[in-house]
Amino acid sequence: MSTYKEIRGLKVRDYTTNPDNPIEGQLWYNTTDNVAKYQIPNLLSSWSSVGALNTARGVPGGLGATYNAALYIGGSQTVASVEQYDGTSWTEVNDLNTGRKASCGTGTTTAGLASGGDTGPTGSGGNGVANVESWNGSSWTETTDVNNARQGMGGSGTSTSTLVFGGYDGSRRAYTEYWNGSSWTELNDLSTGKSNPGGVGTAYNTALCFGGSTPSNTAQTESFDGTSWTELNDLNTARANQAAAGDATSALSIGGYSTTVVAITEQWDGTSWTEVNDLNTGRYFIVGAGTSSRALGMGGETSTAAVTNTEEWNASVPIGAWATAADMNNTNFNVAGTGTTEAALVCGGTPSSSKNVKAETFNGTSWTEQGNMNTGKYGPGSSGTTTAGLAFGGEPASPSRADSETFNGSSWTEAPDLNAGRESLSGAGTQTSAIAVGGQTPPGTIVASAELFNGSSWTETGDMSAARYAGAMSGATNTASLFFGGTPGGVTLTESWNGSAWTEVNDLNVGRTSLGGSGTYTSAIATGGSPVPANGKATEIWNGTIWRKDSDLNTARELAGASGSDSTTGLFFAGRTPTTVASTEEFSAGAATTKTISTD
Amino acid sequence: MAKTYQYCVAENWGKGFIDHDESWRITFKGYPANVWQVPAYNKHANLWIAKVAGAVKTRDEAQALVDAEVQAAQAAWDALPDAEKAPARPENPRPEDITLED
Repeated sequence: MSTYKEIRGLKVRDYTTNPDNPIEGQLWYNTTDNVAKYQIPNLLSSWSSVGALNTARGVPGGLGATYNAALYIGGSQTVASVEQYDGTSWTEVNDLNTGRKASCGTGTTTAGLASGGDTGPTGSGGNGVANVESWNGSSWTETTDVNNARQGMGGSGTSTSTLVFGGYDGSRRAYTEYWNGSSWTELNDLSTGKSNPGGVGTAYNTALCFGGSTPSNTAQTESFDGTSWTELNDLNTARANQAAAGDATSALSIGGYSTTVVAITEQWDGTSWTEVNDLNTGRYFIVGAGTSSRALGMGGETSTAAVTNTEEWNASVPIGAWATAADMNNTNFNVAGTGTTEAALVCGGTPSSSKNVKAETFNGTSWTEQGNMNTGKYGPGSSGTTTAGLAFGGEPASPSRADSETFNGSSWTEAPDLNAGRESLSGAGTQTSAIAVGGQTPPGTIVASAELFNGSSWTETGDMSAARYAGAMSGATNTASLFFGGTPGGVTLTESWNGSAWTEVNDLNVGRTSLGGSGTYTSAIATGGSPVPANGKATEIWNGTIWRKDSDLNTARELAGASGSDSTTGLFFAGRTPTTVASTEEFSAGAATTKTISTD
Repeated sequence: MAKTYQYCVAENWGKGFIDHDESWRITFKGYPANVWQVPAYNKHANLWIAKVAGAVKTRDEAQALVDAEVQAAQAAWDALPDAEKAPARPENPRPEDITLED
């Protein structure tokens, strides 16, 4: 038998206890417990909201071999329009020659095929068409029809080697047809006639068909080897009208309709299906692209309407974890927080009904009470550090919620007022280069306006696209910051500020209000929020392009403060659970876990 | 049916109460009244309860503790002037009841 040293050229080091800071992949032997241990990263697979389609339409066709190159084809009401995704946004490209819904897309954005479909209006229960069109990267060309006109087929393969299977022509069909680039040939049928199954496969002879309507929704999975179909293990949840991504050995079944519209995602490992994290928005008639490790779920319909939502699947991404840290000295909610995880400032808020003038600083270990603010501020904004901080707005923050104060590490000094008094606003930047955004100026007036502070005065600048309050911000300066979430509605909307204008960027995955924000314009954390407890545990990481779900807080909270210099570390403090708390949690990205090698 | 979760009462002492490794291994849900929900039949959860000297509670016992805290928060909210709470202040809604899972 080979030894570890013979294989790796190293001996396994003995430790009486585990090493203090093991690195990823490190292997050691714990001589106290007499077991071998190793260090692995903590991983999470999840969906992130990305650029939305330009036009909502249900019952589309779709294709794409990768997550960043896909087509959304036709759709309800016999739409002929087609949109192309480039990894960031959707662009309208040339129309189909024959507008239709429920076509079967195969291939890529440079060489694709749209087969069959239905030219009847939505809800007409049309029997399908035989039309096939090929896509060359810029336009569609009619080509040879399928032998059996139908809609709602599953498909696999490329534009020159495609398999289509199942479908509906007034009855659910088991037909299987093969396209060799010039003609269609009928091959052996599926075991059961079904419409709207999921279909994947990189070639016609390595296809997987799962789910579908028979007309009851089925969990059946079948694989095709070029000659015949073989039944494999079922999906965990029977459904139809799902999206599919991947290949016959590693696939995703995404959303669909079971007994209702579902957000369920299941992953196929070549043998069986396992439930993984849900879509953010449950949908059916959704279409998919990409692989099982990085996929796209596009459009489709919720139970009420066609939607433009697009989500990107990222498998096995290293994620962090929250740990408890020292409590603050005072319970408090609707506070402002600023600084880092090693040097944080919290001020304002309220312990119950009186407006809080208190401030505390965190030094990485404990919280210390500092000098009181001159004016109590409920729901203020803040910026800066523990030795050069700024608090502004909030209620009452006399006069008229416009008051500003600077903090020097121990005491507060009045500073110039905001031009527009407001509360539940958000802030970012430094003491001398700050931005104040959104908020409400009671009674019930929500604003989109923003103001910039230069150390001596506030100046009104460009408005956000949507008026919001109780959102959150990140940003190291007042020329590069991010505003996300907020009310009304607990929205997912995220806007970035470049010093002169606001731009809508990719949404949060969890719509919420009264959340915390920390970090920068390109590396931020969105934490907690309302409603509690449903959304109050959510943590999302902004990488400069998209928000990605990360580990939940240990205790769901709203109206808390947050600090941190980027998305790798964060502090979340105070808030309501719904009782008012003083507790603190500390986030560390890319956490790792020590595993024990079983010898059983 | 086997229970999915177990509950305990333990006062959060701050740093080290839940460390990053425990947070990753165990899905915690913290509730009012220092009630903590962790997975049942889980070695790591049991070790954590022992570490924090948690007082194990049945789901109904834990629910009663949470209810008392939430009801106190609701009473405090009810006593606020109308101008201090929703709908005048939508960000300050009445605390909602919390139902613990089995």
